[in-house]
Amino acid sequence: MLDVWLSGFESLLHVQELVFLTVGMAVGLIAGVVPGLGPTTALALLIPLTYGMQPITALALSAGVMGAAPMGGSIAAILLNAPGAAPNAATCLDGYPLSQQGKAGLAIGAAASANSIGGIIGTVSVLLVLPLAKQLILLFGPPEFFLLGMLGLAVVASASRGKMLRALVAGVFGLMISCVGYDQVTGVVRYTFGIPYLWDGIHLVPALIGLFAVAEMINLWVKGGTIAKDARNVKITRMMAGLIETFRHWPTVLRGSLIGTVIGAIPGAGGVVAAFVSYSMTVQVSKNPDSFGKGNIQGVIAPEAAINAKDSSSLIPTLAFGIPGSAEMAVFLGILVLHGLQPGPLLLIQNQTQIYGLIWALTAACILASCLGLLLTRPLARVTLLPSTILVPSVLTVALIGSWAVDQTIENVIVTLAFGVIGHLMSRLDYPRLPIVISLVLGSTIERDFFQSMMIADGSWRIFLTRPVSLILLALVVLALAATPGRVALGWGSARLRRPRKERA
Amino acid sequence: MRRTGLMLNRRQLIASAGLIGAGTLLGTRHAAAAGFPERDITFMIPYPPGGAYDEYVRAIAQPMAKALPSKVSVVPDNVAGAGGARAANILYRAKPDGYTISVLNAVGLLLLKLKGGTIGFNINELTWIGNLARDQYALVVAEKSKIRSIADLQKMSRARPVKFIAPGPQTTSYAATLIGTHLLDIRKEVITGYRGASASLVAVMRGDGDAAILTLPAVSQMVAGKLIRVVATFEKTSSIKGAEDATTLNKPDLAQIIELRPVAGPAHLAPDVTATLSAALIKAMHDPGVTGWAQKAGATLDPLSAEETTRLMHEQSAFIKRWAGLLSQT
Amino acid sequence: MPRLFGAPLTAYVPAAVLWVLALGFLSIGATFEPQSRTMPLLIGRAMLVLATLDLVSRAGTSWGRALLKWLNPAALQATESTPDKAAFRAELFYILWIAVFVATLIWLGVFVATPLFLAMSLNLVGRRSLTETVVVTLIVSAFVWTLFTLVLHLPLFPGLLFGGQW
Repeated sequence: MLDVWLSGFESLLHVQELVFLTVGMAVGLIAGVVPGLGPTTALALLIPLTYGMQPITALALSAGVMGAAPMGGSIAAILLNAPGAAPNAATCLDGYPLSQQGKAGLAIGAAASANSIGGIIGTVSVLLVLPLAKQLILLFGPPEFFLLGMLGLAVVASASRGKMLRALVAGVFGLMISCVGYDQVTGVVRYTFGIPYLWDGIHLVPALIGLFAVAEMINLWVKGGTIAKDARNVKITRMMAGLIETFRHWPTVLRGSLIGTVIGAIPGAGGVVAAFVSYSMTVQVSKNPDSFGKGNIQGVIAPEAAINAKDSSSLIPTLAFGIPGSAEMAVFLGILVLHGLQPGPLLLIQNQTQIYGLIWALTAACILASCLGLLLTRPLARVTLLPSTILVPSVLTVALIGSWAVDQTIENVIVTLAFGVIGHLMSRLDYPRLPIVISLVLGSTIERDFFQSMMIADGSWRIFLTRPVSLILLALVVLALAATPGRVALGWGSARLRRPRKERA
Repeated sequence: MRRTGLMLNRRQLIASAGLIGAGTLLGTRHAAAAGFPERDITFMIPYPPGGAYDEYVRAIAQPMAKALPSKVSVVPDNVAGAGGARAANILYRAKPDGYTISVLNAVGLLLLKLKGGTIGFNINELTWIGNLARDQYALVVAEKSKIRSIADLQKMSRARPVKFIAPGPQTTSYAATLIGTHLLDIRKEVITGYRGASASLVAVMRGDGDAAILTLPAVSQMVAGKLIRVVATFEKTSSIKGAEDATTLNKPDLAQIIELRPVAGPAHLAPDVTATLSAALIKAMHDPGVTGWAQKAGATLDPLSAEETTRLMHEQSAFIKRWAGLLSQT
Repeated sequence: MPRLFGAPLTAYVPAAVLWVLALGFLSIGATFEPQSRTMPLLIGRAMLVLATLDLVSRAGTSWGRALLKWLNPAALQATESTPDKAAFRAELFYILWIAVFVATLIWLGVFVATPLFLAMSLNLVGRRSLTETVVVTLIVSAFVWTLFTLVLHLPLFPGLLFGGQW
């Protein structure tokens, strides 16, 4: 085993592979920063460049893009509330408030280190788990996916402390939107009003760009000034403090990395689910949950660790069975096949060196991109000092064009505008945006997995109780749902006990 | 066993060689006269990057450009949306000058139209230029399954419906499942919505269902890895040892269930332009780089002339129309 | 401002809109085939219930406040304030301004819409100096063109008037 890992590492130590790894990294970082571009588009556009390359070189280039893009996305999310890719939307929740407090450097430093550690933990997990990939993937079927989706919804709903009703409204609103489009089980087209664009449902990335970036730019325009509320407080040099914060909150990093690793390995779950579940669980276990959404550094660390851990583990279903867990993995799958690497059980036997080389390349890209991100923090953080009259039109321009660039569909721009208005209204009317994101992602898959489960079990609900993994997930769902009322009751009980006897009587 | 490489019989080889020769001559003469092509050609792919259609087009794009009489590029362009209908609609509306062509999931579009989908025209109005691949189907079960033959499935279906795993209802595999099980007298229940052939195969392995009907290239890796077993192929003569086929099952109609990847241009494309594109496409599919890729990727190549593709598409349309009643049910 | 159950009418608008939306969603959902409509009907009904609770919790009465306390205590801290008409007008203006940019992007394409929107936003709307306007417009336009056209080889959308397609 160790010799295979080492031979994979050695395969990267050639000038050509290192050059293309760096090129991929640079492209990935830029693509990550620009809302709407992301690793998927960057990979797709680099495919022609890989013609004629040796497979390991093509893998190094791809790994550079995939490893670096999350860091780029984090920077955009923190500085501009504009998620570079869908999973970075979770980083916006506390990263942007930190920017507003003049702590952009702190947030980027924490994101960079969480990125790297998450990537390393994800790599180690993949190296250990890959030989068992087949058995692990076979454990997860439609009942497990359904419950995983329910767990995602339950965790997010219960994390919206003090706003449960409005969080549920937002979540259900997201579920309504997820019904738009082609029903994957029956083939019926729903709520499209004859518009062909809506056949595929509401496209996620344009919606997120609207919900976060456009909504925030409207807000910033109206309020005026700069992103950083007090320019005097902008501490670009606090990057090192950000690095230290990550190590100080090591349970958060570990938890986020493990969540990312597990969820990434499940085809279809994706980075958004990993990031938001990690964030929500951190809120749930925190002693100070009300500080989240207002600039709690753990709100940056948790999703960032999950995102990069997920990048490594999402290779498992892609390589083992050719099942891409995300659009990014689907494009990567295409690159593999183009270079004669057919995913499947034989790939892991016949091309071990190349596969382990890929995993090492992904980790290297993740760490190097974090370092590069840190180097760029000083100039980039100055963005938070730009006046809104300059920043807002500039960001809107890039965000809307980026939205079009997701799949070169002009209707995306309309979706971004619409969700920008929705996001702005939600922010004004105090409806949390987190539940709508998770519902948008999980809505259609929950429905599909539920109906598939019923068909497998001939309509019997016992399928959720008789499968071991399903049972564990069901227990977690119940725990997540019971956590908030339980805590409220416990808090009420302990407050009552703490009151003097006279008052209690 | 893997079905790979260029699947040509002697007649097709001679026809292709003749076509390449004639096409080159024709292309040169007419292109010299008409100047086609004078700029880059857009080759649309109706799905996002990374899928099977994407792989085929990207593999042949450069060799096709080299085979054209002028020095231009063939630029793959992913135009995903509405299950392939978006690319088809754009192609239909495009100027018939030869600079916009597309690979199409023809059978998928026929199914979409059947269900009242978003195609506003008859796909046979398009100008067929050639074909990239023709894949036949196989009925597979998990390696550890007790099912050994079609007779076993028929017997099982008398006790309870056999559960077939299939990708989404708009896919050709789903249609193949409905038609195939009907022809084989297997009472079935289709569990659909799986994301692609790989996910469907994993579902069979996991035991979500009893069997699946998917294309031979899609199942080849899992069969080679001894995770999936082929019970029958829909070929006239099975290429898999020990598997039944359309002939042994006495169901010749099974061999008409195929997945095509035809290439088309807008309606009323000039014959000389069609001939130039057709010849370049065929030549590209004989390129050693392309055949090597197909061999390694387990992809099948099926270069056909424009006329042969047109005839095949009309046959497919008639076949799908025959089964319209069955396919309209979900 | 007219009041209903102890709260201004405008306070009920968000929940009322959601209620109407849910009703529309259910009406359309009911027309789908049986299996296809199961989830939409479930979701629509859930939204009706939640929107009703939201509506009721906005009332300024004791039962409204009690419901709010149990289900959404964070909103208890929000004080009733006079709507800021100036801020509302500014928001509406800027949303419409972005809509104009979107329309220009769609019809005239990126090359025309981008510098036009930037220049007008900076100079006319944002009242920046001419120098700043020109510099920022050039930088952002160049960035967009360089990134998409040169680096990524992604031809920018030309606009419906110049051959672009929906």
